[in-house]
Amino acid sequence: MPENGLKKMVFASLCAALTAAGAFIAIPIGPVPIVLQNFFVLLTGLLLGSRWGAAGVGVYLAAGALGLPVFAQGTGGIGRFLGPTGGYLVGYLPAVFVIGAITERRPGRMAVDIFAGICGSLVIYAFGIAWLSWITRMGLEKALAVGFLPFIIGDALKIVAAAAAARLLRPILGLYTLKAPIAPS
Amino acid sequence: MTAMKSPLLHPLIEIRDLTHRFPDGTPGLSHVNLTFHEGSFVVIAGANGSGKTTLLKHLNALLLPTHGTVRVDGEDTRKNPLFIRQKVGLVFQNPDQQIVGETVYDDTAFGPENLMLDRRRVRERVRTALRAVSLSEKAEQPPHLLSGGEKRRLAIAGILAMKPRVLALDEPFSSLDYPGIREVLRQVLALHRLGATVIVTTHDVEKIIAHAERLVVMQKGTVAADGPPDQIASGLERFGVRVPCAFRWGRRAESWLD
Amino acid sequence: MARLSLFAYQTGKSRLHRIDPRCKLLSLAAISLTALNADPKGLLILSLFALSLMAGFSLFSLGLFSRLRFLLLFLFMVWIARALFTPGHPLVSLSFATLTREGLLQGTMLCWRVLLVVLFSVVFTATTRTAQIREALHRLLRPLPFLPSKRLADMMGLMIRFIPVIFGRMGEILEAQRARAVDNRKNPVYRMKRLALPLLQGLFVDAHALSEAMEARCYRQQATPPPLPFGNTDRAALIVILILCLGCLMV
Repeated sequence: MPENGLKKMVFASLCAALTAAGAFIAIPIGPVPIVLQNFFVLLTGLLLGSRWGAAGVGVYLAAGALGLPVFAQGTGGIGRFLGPTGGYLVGYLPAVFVIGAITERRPGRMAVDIFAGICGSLVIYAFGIAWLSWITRMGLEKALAVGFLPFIIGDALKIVAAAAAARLLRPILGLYTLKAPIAPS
Repeated sequence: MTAMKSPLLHPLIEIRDLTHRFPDGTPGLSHVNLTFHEGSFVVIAGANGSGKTTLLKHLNALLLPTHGTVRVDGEDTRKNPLFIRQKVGLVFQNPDQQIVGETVYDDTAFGPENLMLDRRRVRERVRTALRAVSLSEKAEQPPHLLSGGEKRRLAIAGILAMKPRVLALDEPFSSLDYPGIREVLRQVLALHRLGATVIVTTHDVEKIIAHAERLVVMQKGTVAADGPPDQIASGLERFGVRVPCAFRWGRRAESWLD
Repeated sequence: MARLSLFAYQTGKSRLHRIDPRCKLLSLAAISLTALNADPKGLLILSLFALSLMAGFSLFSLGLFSRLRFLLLFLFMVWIARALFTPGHPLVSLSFATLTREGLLQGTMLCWRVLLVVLFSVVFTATTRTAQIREALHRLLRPLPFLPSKRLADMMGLMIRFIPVIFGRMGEILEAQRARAVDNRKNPVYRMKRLALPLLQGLFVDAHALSEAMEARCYRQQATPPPLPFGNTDRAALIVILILCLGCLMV
């Protein structure tokens, strides 16, 4: 296996673990709790790009589907996908892909990263709200009111934070994922 | 021919004109020439950033030379990293960063499993390796419950299970307490007595100098001194390494085990 | 570390330890689904099953409850919130909220379900090594096309390894910053930044060191697979669990 592959694989696994850790820190309000999960999903896409980002998020979702306690509030299980918040979870996968694909085109530009973050968040909400309104039989308007509007400010902050964090972390990752070896420890 | 080859003189690792430059342009090593013989016990000393770790990573094909060659048992490290990694086992400085298994047993089995040995042989190797570092009783424990010295010994066991011919240890005594240092030292010496070639890097030669057969001093990526410890240890201060007490008083070095 | 050791593997040789991990994994998935959908009667049966499993294999320990306390506290808060803020028949009216019968009922059911899922997860992870979970996953996913099941399984193993490292490092950084009087800073954004950035930086450096150590130990996609004998006992156990789940959903 190519040497870079192993590093990316370990980094993607770390991102999956961070996403799981982010889900522990949850503030329960209404049917959809506020979580740090999606912050880490954004960060994963920005740092690892479309392919490895999707791998990281895919691993996270698979672990949750198997019943490992990695979803919000330390729960897990495939039933979680069928619950009211399942759409958001499913949405993480296309979202991270979109984020990665955008940021790969123009790496290292803050504005591009923020744009990627906005696109990714919209993808998450598109999946989340569609599912929420369908499963709870509430109208689209009501679903938007509970499942989107309360989170706009928080998500805007998360997007900016993720872009800023990505900017700081990229040099570290870049050093390690170049073809050539790394600086002495 | 084979009959004439004395095991002590067989050059196991040959480094010729090794130069390494990092991707950001900083020089890591320049024009290093060293030969390590089978069965020897070498201490590589030097201040932080002198290139000790970079050199060790070359022996294991984790880093490849920008210029020059590194040969292990006659094989160029550029050609067959997997072969090289089985010959030279590299134990990293921080054991917490290299533990992969969720029990002591699983962690030790990681290497031999990657070598695709069958289950029975994996079990044999793990048992032997754990016995060699006196961790057999802890085989089923999760590694994070081990003490510092035990973790370090587990890291060594993980390498031993791959049956390398050279055991390369990067700063094996850092952040260990006195009993921990003695534990690790005792195990390493025992392995050496059984025929392993041992290469140890350290910035603190005091702890191990009594057992070294050869001392290599690194400075700014070059070999600054090389020879028997009692001849060059007293001049270590120039290279940013503390001279062991015994040499200051003009005496022979004492083992930390006595 | 409390939350993490909750799902730690406990060494043992009980029958539950020896059951094929694939069987346990599938059972866990079936049970979680059931627990999130069953009626109170079904939940009662599942609870009795969980308790007898834990009693039968002596997974009960004082430690378990102290390790569960975070979760219990959290569930209690969820329960209170549900009870107070769900519209319905009022039982007790407070100035800011009303305790309703529906709320009480809903909150109880929700907490019950979550607790059940967690208990079964505890039983599963306490009796199954991560290496086995990984291999089970690999074998279960292998029939699916286009899915690198070995890599997925390895990554999941790494992920499980990293979670305690994250919390451990976070604790260290927090303490080190307390020692330098970070508590005097009231701005949460500032504190978040000062916590998150060194944490993330350190973690990625750790991850890099780990990948190097794995490389030094010849990590490859193919490795000796752990033996997984799927025998008649496993088959029988799986069938019993599936019947139980169906039963719980029907009653």
